[in-house]
Amino acid sequence: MNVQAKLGNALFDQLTKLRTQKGALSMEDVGALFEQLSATLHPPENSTETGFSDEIRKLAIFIEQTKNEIVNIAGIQETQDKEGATLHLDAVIKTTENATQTIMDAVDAIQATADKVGGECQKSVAESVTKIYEACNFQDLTGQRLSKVIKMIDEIDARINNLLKLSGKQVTSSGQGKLEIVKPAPGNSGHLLSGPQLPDAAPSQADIDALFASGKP
Amino acid sequence: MVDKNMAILVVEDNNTMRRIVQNLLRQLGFGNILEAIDGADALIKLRERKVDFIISDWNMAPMTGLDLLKQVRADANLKHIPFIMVTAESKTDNIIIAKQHGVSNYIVKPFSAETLKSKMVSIIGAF
Repeated sequence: MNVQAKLGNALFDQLTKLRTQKGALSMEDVGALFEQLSATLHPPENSTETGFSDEIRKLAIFIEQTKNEIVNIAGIQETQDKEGATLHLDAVIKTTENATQTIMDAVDAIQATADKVGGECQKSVAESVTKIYEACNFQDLTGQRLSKVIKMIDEIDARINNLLKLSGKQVTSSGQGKLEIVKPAPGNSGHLLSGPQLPDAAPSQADIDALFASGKP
Repeated sequence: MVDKNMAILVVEDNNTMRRIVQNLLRQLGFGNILEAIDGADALIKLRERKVDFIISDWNMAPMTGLDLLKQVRADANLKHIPFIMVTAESKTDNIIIAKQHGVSNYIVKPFSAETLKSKMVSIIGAF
């Protein structure tokens, strides 16, 4: 098994253990674990130090290619800023936002028609309209989850590049730069921002209510 | 008796979510709804006119919902206003800190009209 595969397997195992202990992981947890494992893995006995660095370099190129694929799939527009190329999530979030707004416009039109009819029809339509509006929560949560994934890829990419610099190697740039989240980390409470949790791990509203009722100010 | 004409400020940077909250409030019979796109915008509006109820997201920039809550509770003219946090942030720390800073209730996304109503009722009474 080559170093890349070993690193991937070790990372997966450790992430699973850490997640069991801590619950949801932050991108800092993932990045720190990756660095720790990379430092402890030794190249195979019949490989040279150059071989090990080359494996890390291949991993970095793989990350770069993955980001390119994300760009192509999501139609993210690349722009240049003072520090180099910057990719925005705006296009992805905007696309889903536009579609959701269209749905809500249509729903409002249906409700307006039902309001003219009145009676049971109006009431029945209103109930369905409410359900559609509730379902449209997805657009906000999708954007937040995408942001989280991109941040994680970016963090791992940065740490791999650091390792390469330490080993004296450079990644061949494809022209795609760092994927950045346009929305900056706000205020002093940025460390509290984890975003939506996975459905299996997320507490229900009832759990939240119980905690809220029991928590002392 | 709940005044259905009370001014409700919806603070949310996501256009879709802002519209959802507004629509659900209208379905509940509230028509006097103001908007703000983040905490800083909300503070400006809170100081410009009378607001009777605040429904705010947490994850916004440049001012988060938590920072807005702190500002509201520190302001003698605003500290009495009911404040519901509606957010995807659902960790225990989030809820504890929000409550420590005086949030009136806490709703986690995705949420239903029924949940919004029940939390408002718990604060202002039945409607």
